[in-house]
Amino acid sequence: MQLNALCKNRPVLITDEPGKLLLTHIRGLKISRQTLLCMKITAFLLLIFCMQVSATTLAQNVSLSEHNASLEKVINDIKQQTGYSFFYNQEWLSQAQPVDIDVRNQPLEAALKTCFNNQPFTYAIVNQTIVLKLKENSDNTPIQPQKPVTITGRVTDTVGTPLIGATIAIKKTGKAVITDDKGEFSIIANSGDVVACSYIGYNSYEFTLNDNAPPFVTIMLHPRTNGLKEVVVNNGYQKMSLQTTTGSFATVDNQLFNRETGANVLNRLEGIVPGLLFNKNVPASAGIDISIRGTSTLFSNTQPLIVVDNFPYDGDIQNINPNDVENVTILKDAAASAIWGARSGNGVIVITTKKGKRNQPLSIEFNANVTVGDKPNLFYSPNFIDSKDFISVEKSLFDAGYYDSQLSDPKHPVVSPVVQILANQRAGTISSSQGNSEINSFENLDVRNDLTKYFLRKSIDQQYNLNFRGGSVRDDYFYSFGYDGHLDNQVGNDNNRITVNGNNNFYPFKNLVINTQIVYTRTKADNNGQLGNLSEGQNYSYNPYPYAQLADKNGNALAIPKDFNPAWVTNPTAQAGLLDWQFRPLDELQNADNTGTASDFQLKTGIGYSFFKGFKAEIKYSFENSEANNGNYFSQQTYYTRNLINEYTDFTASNAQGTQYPIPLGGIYNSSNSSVISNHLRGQLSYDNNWNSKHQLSALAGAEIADTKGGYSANATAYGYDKTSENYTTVDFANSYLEQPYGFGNRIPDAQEYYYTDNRFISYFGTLQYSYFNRYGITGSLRIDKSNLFGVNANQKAVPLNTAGIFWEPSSEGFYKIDWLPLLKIRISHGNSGNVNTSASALTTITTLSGSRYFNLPFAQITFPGNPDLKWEKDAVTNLGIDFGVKNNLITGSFDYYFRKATDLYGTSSLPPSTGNATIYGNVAATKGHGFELVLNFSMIRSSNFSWTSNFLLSESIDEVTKWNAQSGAGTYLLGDASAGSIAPSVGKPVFAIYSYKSAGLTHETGDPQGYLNGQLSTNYGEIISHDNSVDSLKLWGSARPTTYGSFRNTFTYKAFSFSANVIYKLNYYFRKSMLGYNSLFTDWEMNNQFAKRWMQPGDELKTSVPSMPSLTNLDGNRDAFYSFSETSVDKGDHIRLQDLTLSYNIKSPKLFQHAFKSINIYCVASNIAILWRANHDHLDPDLYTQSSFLSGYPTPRTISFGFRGNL
Amino acid sequence: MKSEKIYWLLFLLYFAISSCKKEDQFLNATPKSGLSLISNLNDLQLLLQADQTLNIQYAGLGELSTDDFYVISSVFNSRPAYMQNVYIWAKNPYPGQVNSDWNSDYHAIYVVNRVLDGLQELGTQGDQTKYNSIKGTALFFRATRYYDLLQNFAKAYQSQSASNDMGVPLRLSSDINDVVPRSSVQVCYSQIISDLQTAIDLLPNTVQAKTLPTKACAYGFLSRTYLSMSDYDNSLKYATLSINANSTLTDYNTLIPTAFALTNLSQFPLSECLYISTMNNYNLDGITRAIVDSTLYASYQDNDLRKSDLFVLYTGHQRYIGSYDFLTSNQYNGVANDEVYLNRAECNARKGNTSAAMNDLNTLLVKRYKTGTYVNRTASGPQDALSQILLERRKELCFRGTRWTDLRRLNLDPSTQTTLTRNINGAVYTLPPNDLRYVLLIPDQEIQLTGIPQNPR
Repeated sequence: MQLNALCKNRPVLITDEPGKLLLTHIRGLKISRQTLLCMKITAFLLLIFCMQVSATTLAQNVSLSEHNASLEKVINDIKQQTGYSFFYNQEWLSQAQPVDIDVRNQPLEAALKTCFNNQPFTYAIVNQTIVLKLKENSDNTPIQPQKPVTITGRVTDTVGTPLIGATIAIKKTGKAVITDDKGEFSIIANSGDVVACSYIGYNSYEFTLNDNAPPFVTIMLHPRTNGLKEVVVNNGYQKMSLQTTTGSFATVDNQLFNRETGANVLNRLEGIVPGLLFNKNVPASAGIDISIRGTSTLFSNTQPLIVVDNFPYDGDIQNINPNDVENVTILKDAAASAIWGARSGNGVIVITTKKGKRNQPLSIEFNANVTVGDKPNLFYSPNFIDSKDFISVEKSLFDAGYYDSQLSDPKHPVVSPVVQILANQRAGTISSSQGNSEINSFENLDVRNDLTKYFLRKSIDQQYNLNFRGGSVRDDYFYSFGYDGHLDNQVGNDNNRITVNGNNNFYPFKNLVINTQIVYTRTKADNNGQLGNLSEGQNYSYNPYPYAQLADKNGNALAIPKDFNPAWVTNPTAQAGLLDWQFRPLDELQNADNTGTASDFQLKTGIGYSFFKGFKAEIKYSFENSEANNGNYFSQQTYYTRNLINEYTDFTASNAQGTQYPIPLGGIYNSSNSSVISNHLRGQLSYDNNWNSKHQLSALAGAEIADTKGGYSANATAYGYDKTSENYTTVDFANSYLEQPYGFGNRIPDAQEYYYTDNRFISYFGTLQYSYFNRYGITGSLRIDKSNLFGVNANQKAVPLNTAGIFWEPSSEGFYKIDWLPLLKIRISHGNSGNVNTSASALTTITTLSGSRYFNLPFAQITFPGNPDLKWEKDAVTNLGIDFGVKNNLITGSFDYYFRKATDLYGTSSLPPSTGNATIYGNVAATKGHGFELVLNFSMIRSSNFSWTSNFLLSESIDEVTKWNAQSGAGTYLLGDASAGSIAPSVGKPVFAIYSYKSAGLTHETGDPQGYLNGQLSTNYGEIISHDNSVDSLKLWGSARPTTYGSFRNTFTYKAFSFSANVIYKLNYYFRKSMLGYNSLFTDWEMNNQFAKRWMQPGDELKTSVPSMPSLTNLDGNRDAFYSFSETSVDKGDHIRLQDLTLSYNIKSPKLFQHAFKSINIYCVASNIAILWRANHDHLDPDLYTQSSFLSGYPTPRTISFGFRGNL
Repeated sequence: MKSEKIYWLLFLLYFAISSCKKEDQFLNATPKSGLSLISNLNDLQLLLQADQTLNIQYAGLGELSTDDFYVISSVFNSRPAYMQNVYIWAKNPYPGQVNSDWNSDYHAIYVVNRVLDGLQELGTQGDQTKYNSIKGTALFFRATRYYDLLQNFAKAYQSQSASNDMGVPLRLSSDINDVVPRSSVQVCYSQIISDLQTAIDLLPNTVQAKTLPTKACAYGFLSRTYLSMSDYDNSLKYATLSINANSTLTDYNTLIPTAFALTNLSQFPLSECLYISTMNNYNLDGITRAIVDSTLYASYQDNDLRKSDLFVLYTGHQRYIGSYDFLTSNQYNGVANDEVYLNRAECNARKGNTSAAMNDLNTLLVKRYKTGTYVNRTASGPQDALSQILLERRKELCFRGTRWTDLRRLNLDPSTQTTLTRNINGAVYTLPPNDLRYVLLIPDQEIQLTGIPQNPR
């Protein structure tokens, strides 16, 4: 769909292969070179990959040359070279001895031996983790005779509560058991073995088994006060330990990310991130609409900044293969996001892709799944009236003479078959009984059946991904190949995507690292769905009538009215000399030929050099080129082409060319191309060090330059186009022609268009983090952005955006004695982030255009009057956070409260219209907001075979407009909110607010809706609407977006099975229902099922709120307008939805395929399952955009996927 | 070690300084295609060629209030409230609403003021001819817009009271921060006249497209302006100058009528058209809504080509299809020679020059009747000539935006007063001569934001 909007292409006269067409046009050689380049790169990647496979079969060797170095440094070096991680307590390092070592390409074991020679620690290698242990002071563990003993015991916390799921491991053999639901265990060991007992959140305990061990041991574990487990967050500039940050972050690890199987990265985040809301009730054209902590802007971009591997992503998010994603970090408050400066006001989503690891053997991962989605349910929509009722309306309108003008109109507008039959009956051309029986035969038809049968299908998504990763001493690698195939639930729409990702890091010599990454994505799409093209097109622009027939009994295409009266279109005399002017939707589906291709190429490279103690200098560069081409070919069989040729037919050939067909016979071809090219270059210097295991300091400073160029060009429409020869005929676009059968002069439509955008940024940034014993810490950041966005003479008033924060972890203090709450951390931060708006300029700017209305002259228009006082939008956020863990880690979680003030927001403010500008765009508005996010993770049951965890997310975000001075009438507020996607600000009201007229029920005598005029009940709708036209005269219901939302996820594992269910809820908001309008029913065929519940006789007003059908002589547009926005049009949107169920079966070292797989995982995911509860009474899904046609606005179809993931 | 540190620092410093220098250059790039600053006379010329801004959307509220047409109740009821209100001359027709007539006139004024300010900033740039034609064109556009505003939002010109009657805010610069009060009707007309006179000196005799004004066209518009002021001497003077510059009249016998337009596109624009402009459409939307006043239609003789060419029978009623803009559905209100001839004829009649007056009338009408069927009119005296001319003016210029101005002007003379009547949904509405409602209300937004006085009710 994206492609469709972007592209069209002009034919090239002499080309023998279709592929060449796309390459030689517009961007010309550039594209073909890039394609070549991509092919070369792919070949190169494959080559490297083959080399890597052999390289990694070597053992893990290290090279170290240090004199008097700290143990910590050596550990870090080993970590870097091998990819192994170390497991130790930071405080131990203060006792470490300096290390002297000089090994070249020695096995890891040997190196470790040297390092730990005189250290007060011993070490053990467990699954690529090197676990350190303090040596016992006294004994040198005398060698005991080996003798198997069974030890049993119980693990408890300091107050004696059993710890369930604690690990008891024999160090030497790696054999381990887990405590049961009484906290008890039993394990066989040899005398002299070191037994380790560990539990998350607690310090491990080890003891050496000797002969006189008691038959039953009780092990008491102490809560860990500072961490062994490190959660790392990535803000796109640096990785930080979550423990030392002060801002509000949310992380999605790989496992959580892969709960869902969708092909779009963003969609997988729904319902699993606190504070992140998917706004579903927006027009489809808006794409994915996400808000993080509500809305901080009014008319600027509202979407979070998306960062992929250190750089903002400028292409289409669809290009990112979710299978390549390792994890996602969401930066919610200013302290977290302000490093991204002027673009971070809506929050930042940082996506990190998978990487290889040094000194790891080749690991191959394979993932395949197929997802089947239900057919869309057209019967859901309230925008329908059954054929019988519809025909009765048509009959009564016909009797009242409503269609007389249409039947005699020289424009030959469409009338429905029923109206035509009635007219024929009246004219006597058919008998009354013949007409009646024809009409009766329509009464049982329902066009939705034909639409469902011929235009919709089950969607099928296939996803395959294969990746390889590993590393040797001097490099690591990750390669991935993905294929996604999508058969849309609309017949005619499908697409597929191929992604190739190659990521290499090289460590050519000490302290130097070079990163390279190449990602290539190619998408092909067919956009031939016809559901959107079925409406009549002129008067009745919403729907087909309900008894339309699209196919006969044998499935042959039938014509339905479009643009013109079928009686005229099928009249041979009137149509003499014209092409067939009938519209057959099923044929259109066959003949549509609208295709698009898109490609995205990313190259990222960087070099990092570490020097002195803790310094690192880095230069990073990113290049991205996205291209999209679209070609829409309308053969002469298509209605589009026949209609245009007919419209322009000039029987007298009176035009300058003297031709009867100003639009020549043959096909029509529209083609276009769009591209994004972005370059980012960043230089940064960082410092990271700690002293005496007490002070930890990390600082970062750098500068960045970015340039993103976007271009779009649509070629001149090619008429008389022949698809095989690619020949076309030049037409006269300049002169006007009179349209058939009635019309004013019009030029021949031409799609030609060209525009570009060029956004440039220069930024300077710095951050600082200091913590003491991981107990207290401060953080700060500063960023200055400059851009060319403010007009031709760039207004470069750069505003520095700064943040500051502190944290305190009382649970690490010596005096902290709250046993039931072993973890407690308090964070406070405050900072400013910003938002960019490209639509304003400081100086008067003009746009030059061609083709003035009357004489086709070039002309210019004033685009922006100029406003010298423009500034960035600013968003100041204060965040207070608490992280906690309750005893035994039964409950862990966090609570964040924030309040924000957004100032200098762009908006229009009213000017006296006599200035020539009724409004001016500038920094005129302000909003404020507050809210919280509560995260609770419950670890209900942790036994060896069975576990149950629950994750509860609760978010609240409330906003309010605090400054706005533009004047708008009440209508703006009523219409503005209807979509929930547009904003009509008013001081003191929510940013997205829903209003209605104040109204009462229907009148007893006539079934008219009643409003209030001067406090009295009234049916004078014109006066009600215009009397007090202010927003204050309306009833404010509340926010049109959920202000309370979250999810509740439960995961159960039993042996190899895992089952999870996610329930999403959205509360405290309102939505507007689509309402019956008699005017639009009569004039537009805009239907609503409220019709069946309309008031018909006195007394009905007690049962219904739907007004009576007015007589034609009493048709008052204001009555409809009033009713559409009366109190009955608003309902509560609150609902709870069972979003998904996942079931997986996970086997490590499967017996069946033990030579093929290390592990396999079979999974099944069902999504969009059901609404469990909703507050509204009409059984509506409030997560849908309110539509006026039944063709769109169906609930997201249920999908089910089956998949398989294997690790070789 | 130390030297290495210094090296790094120097490198960073160099990086910082060199980037500062090039920064401005880098950030001067245009962020979007098509965006540019006004940098030369050609840009100003292009701004004046924006017919979407300057030649369309003249006020339509006046025409909506005239007796050229009526609508039936069902059409009336389906129209927005403010249109209904204007149609029945309600006292407060568009409370709180934006008014596109007021806004579009002032938007055009803003654009031409920006052009005039641009001329001041840029100077002649060595091309005096181009400079003159741009200035003349801008002044002409500004004059036509202020004239348009005065016909709708200020009282008809009366020499005795013009200095005290409220005109409209006269904005002569593009600075949106200027605070401008309402000037008197007298001052406003003086500005229009002086703008047009300056324009006459600067404008060329021929232009590449009839959306741009010529000298003849400016004479014609000045004649129209003086006529609206009941200044018949000056109206006569400029009508004569206009006719001397361009006297072409289109013979309706040569028209190639199409089903729903005066003629086909090959004759666009009509040879007698001096300048194309159109009004905001309200109820006059094509043939489906407005029905031609039956008395007016009945006043055409059968051999009068206007009877067949200007109207069409549609769903039982006569509809107007005579717009000189047959390219779009907008109603033409530009300057054409038929109007200029009628201006001169009326002025001559009022000055007692009966034969000169009848001469012009006959010159025009012979082009409107079937070839060979027109018999030259005669008049018994100036009064007879005047009434014949006024009747022909009514017939020739219906739906052309002049009717509202003529009603306001003619109502000042008790002998030519008209009371307008509307009959809709069983109710009867009347607009007596010189009623306060002949001056439309200034939109609320303007009143609220500037505090200028509203027109009395």
